[in-house]
Amino acid sequence: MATCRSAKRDPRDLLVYGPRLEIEVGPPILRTAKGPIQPVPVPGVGGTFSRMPALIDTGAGRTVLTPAAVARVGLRQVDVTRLARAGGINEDAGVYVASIQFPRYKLATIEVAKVICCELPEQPIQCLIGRDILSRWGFNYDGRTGEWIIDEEDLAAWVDPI
Amino acid sequence: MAATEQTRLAGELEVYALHKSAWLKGHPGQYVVIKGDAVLNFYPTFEAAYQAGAGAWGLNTDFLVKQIVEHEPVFFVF
Repeated sequence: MATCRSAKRDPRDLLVYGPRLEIEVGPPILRTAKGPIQPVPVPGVGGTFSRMPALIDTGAGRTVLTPAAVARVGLRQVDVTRLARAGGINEDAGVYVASIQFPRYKLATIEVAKVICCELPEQPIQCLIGRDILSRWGFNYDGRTGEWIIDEEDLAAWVDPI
Repeated sequence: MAATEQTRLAGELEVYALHKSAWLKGHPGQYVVIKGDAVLNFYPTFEAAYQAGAGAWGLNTDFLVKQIVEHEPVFFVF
């Protein structure tokens, strides 16, 4: 079991900004009998990695990235879905495929994740970590101490194909 | 959504819409992989479908990976 704690224990910081952590978004990591494969990095085309702040959002059914973040990494689109947002806004949104790493924490890399692309106005955040990723973790929010904690069962990096 | 996103996969979504009724009978809940007019195959999981598409067409290109369901899901973000 891996346990990761928020960097700051400041009740006001957690109250004002919410539970945030740094992530690194890149192209999906696919595994073959010969090992992991990723696209060749070509800025603006795909294959690059980008670090960004993310907000843990239990109100988001799926993980969300801003269009700027999607473009910076050069993610590839795999679907379109219907998105319902606060204020009664309903819109079609692109679905992209990515990998998500947690460079400051001992959390397992998510090698293939579907992320929804939409603007996050009025927020200094480029990613909302939704309940799809939260389903992998235990998550504890303690507003009294200003601390959040993520628990994750130990996961193998990958399973060798038979 | 940006105009470029709307046009990306537009052709593939048309192919999906054209065949959706038939595929709902034969492959309900499975994932179909489409690029242009080409339908690669049907797969039990998104990961298997994406891996097959990437194997066929590479990682630096768009292709549609669509779960065959009667009603399209709506995701809430608050």
